[in-house]
Amino acid sequence: MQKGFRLLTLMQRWVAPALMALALGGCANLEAIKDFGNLSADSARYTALTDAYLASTEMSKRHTMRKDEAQRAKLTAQGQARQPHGVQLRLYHRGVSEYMAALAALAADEVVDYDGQLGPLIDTASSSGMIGAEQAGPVRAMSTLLADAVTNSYRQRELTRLIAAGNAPLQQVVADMVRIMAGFDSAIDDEAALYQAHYEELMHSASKTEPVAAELLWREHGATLAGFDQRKRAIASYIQTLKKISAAHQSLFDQRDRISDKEVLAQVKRYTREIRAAYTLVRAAGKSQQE
Amino acid sequence: MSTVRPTHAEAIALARQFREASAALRRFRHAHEEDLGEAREAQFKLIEQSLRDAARDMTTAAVGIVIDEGKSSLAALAAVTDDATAVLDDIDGVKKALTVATALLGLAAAIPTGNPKEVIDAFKKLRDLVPDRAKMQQEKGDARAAPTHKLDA
Repeated sequence: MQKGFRLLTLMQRWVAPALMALALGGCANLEAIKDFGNLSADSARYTALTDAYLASTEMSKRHTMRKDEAQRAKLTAQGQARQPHGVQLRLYHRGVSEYMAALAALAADEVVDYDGQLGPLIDTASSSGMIGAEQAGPVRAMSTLLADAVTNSYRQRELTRLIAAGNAPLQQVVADMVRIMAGFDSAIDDEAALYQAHYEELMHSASKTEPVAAELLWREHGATLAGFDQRKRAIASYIQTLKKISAAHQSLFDQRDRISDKEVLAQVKRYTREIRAAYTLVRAAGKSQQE
Repeated sequence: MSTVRPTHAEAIALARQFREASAALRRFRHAHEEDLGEAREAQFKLIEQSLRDAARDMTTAAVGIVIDEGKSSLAALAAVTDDATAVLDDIDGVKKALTVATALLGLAAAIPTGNPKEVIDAFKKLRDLVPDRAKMQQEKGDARAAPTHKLDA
């Protein structure tokens, strides 16, 4: 007990100020990075455009004549050829979302309530005589500070390490997703081309013999084309979302030695706003497609 | 003869060109409907359809090319994420370790009292926190393949 008391006095006189400096210097509010990570993870999890691509050839059957069995069979075969892509495409979504979720979790500043954990430990140490009752308060305060500082410094170091190691593969994966989106855009153009051909054939014959039917077809035409345009805009907005995620992470990588600086965090916040704006457009386009 | 595979950009461009060719052929057919005759018109329609089918095939190929080229980057990203998850587990482990340490101290404090109820309660708290190592090892052993031959008596 005497030894413990002398050790405790030593800690209070010399170690506590050092711990305070460590705690204040090491802890940084990285909420901007946490928000960026969480929003990017959420955006990467959006698979509606991938689902639409995989269903595209089946949806195209609406723009064929029922008697045209050869064309419908061809569309079925082409749809089957695309299905193996589905598994791979979902790996892209998952790869980016899991990485960004891990980034957000490392940047988070909550998680462990050390006072809640250490408090009972110190109370028990005090009641079993390992430390004196009058030392329990100061020991609790220093221990909480130390645990907090050590963990936050560790957490920030690991976050920097993650950004350093993850940037190259992330940039490539996001670039691949942008190219994949170009493929999805082409699939919409394929659908639109089939629709236009179908519409022109019907109009070509109906306009001569069925003027009312031709009028109805013409009225529907505008809305259908608008639907294709909306889907293309959703893809364009998602490409913007991906590019902003890529730019924000590159910025973190370039400035990884000072990720807790106010300027860096302010820049991340700006990127997050831009990602949110682009992703909101994607969600809005998807929602109105369903309506 | 070796197969020439288009790049992603080439496949996208080819898809667009096939669609445009199909549309141009359709406009020509409609414009010269009366001159073509039924047989020629049917031929034209078939070619138009084939061009649109080829466009869709090129679109599928374009997506497939990216997927094929991107496998190693995806694997590298997953590896980095796994490392980060292990770090997060370590941080979580500190919390659990503190809880276990508290329970250990509780048991250590209870034993000298000689109070059976206190000792039993403290032991139960610790037991609930620590995994059953014997059970885990048995489960590992069950997962291994059974021997394929009988031992001689």
